[in-house]
Amino acid sequence: MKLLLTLSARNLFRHRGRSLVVGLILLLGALVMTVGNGVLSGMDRGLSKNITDGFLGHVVVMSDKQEDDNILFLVMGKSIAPLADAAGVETVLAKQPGIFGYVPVGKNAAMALNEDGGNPSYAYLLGVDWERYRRVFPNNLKAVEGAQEPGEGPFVLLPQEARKQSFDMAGTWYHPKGVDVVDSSLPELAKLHRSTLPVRDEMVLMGFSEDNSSSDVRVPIRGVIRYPALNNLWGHFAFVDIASYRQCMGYVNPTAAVQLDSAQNALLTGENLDELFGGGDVGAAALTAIATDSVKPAAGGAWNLVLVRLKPGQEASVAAKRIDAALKEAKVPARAVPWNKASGPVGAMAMLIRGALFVFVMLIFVVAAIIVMNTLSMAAMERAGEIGMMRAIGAGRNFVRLLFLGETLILSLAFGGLGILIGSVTVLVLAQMGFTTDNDFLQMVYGGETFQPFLRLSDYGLALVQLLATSAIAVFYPTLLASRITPLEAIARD
Amino acid sequence: MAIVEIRNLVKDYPLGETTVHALRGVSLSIEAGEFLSVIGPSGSGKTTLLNVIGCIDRATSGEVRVAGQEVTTLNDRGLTSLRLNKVGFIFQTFNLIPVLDVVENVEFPLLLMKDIPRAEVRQRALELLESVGLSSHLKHRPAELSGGQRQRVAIARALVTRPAIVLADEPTANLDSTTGEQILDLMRGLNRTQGTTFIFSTHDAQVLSYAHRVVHMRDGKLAEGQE
Repeated sequence: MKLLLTLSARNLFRHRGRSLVVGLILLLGALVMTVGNGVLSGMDRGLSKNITDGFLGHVVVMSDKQEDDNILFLVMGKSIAPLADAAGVETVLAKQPGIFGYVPVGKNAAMALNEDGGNPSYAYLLGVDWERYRRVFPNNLKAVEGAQEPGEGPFVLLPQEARKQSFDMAGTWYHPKGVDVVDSSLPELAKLHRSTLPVRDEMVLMGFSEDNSSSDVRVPIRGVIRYPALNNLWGHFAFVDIASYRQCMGYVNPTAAVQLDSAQNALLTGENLDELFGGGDVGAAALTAIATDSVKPAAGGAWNLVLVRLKPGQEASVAAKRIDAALKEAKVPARAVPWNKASGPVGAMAMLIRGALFVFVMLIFVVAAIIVMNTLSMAAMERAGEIGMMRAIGAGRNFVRLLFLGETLILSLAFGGLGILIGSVTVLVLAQMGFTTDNDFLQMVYGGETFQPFLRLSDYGLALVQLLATSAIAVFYPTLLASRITPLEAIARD
Repeated sequence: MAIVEIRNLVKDYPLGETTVHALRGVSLSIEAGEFLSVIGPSGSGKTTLLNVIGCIDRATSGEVRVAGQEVTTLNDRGLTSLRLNKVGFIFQTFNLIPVLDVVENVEFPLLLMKDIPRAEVRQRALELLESVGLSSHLKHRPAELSGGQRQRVAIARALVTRPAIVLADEPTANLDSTTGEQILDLMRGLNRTQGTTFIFSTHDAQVLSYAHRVVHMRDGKLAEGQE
């Protein structure tokens, strides 16, 4: 071993120029791979923090009637199926290991009616039991205007982004109840027409139920919020108290039969349906009764989804499979989907970007391996006489292989190690520089609004494995060439 | 006792569509302790004969026994082992390992053997270097030595494993006549004192006076009566 190491080290020094070229390639490859690993880890951590820990959870449980796994950004008007047995889902989740917390939510799109007679706008609603929601997602938003914690009673927490969209579509400017309009927050167009700007502190939300009926609900705006990260994405989703949400979406059951007298029945079954809306007292009274007094939220609570946050170290796809199996075993009509599938284009884009970055890193890996292989192959041919002579005086093929491996290993560890070290410093420097972006795509790459690459201990291991794999691939062919050199080559060159 | 036994040795080299017949049925017996010279014009097959005896080339047909071992049936590992343990080589251009110093070059074959204690390796190398007159150059690299000194190192390296035979392919070809004579004196002395069999090819007429026996080759065959 000492002989091999001595020979390897001295050969490297003897062929300094070539060693330097190979070493620099390995250094550069290790540096890029280390930085790439840092970016990927930063992206993972950022996405984990900002998507799974900050908004959606790692696993989403949805109704088995739900057509599409993607429940985040759906075509407007396409509703998410309600869970038929949300209580059953919670019972199953309560028995699952590795769960940090879970919270049922209502989620669907609704129309925000324009009380000033213009176009309506739209809003994606998250109907929540606020206290429960905050226990699972405690730090995922902050108030820009008004209250961050809405308190008792009906509420809307409207994101900045959704408010701006509403203004763009309907021309109405929303602000929290009891809080003056903050002029500095107004878009330029609103500032121009400030004196005539329609301003509202309540939203009239109209949802569409499964049976194509609609109902609307007036809800006070308690706060305007923003998400600390990926605000452009999550900023579409307004929080609403669950009672208002259910009423808006028609998730209601009759609690008492309405007894109609003969006149009311005649009116409802009559041919002249216009009479229903003609201001007749009887019809109006009947409809009012149906719309308000006789309907209450569904017993046990109607929800669309249950968001599940896992404890650190748990793999979302593995947990989703486990939960899914448990739901099936318990015969609960629901399925569990990992976040990347549930978040549709967001998850797909995140995976795509991650994949592209990984491919880029692997490309560097392959290019480095090819260049090093080429250089070492030429070196093997140049040294055919010397290798042949060693073979002639008794060195076996294994000795020659080990000699080449030893030389490459020394180069890998010295230059590659330096590359990993410089890469680590580069990652630290990049993280310290704290680049920020508003761009949706870059936010995906950054894993949030700030570029925070970092290296886990496993990334160092990965970089080392990548480096050694590069070296092993690069040295394989040259070693094969060298080991095939026969003693006769030494004589021939003699 | 014959240290090398060759029967009907044929060696052909395919060269494009033709075949070069380097050895055409050579038979030869070499006794242990001989100092044998193979002479002949270029292309007569001297080097090929030495290569086959030294197990660095394979016979096309025929039988070759070296130190009691039939070499034509050995695989690469067997041939390597035989070269390491039974054969020493001295090359025309010395062929030392440039990154090792003098003593390390001599130690190299012993270190390949693995089972010899480190102290013994060093002692054997030092003894041989002393016998070839290079005790004062132990830490020199080959590039820092003259041609004669390099060939002395090569001789020490060839002998350090205490081989049954030493093959030397034109060992004086790259040396001036005085140095060549010194090298031949050295080889002859070692042959006499250690009983090592030396087989060397040469063009050099002065070499012949040192040899116990001279074998003439022409066109891949031995001259008649030389077996």
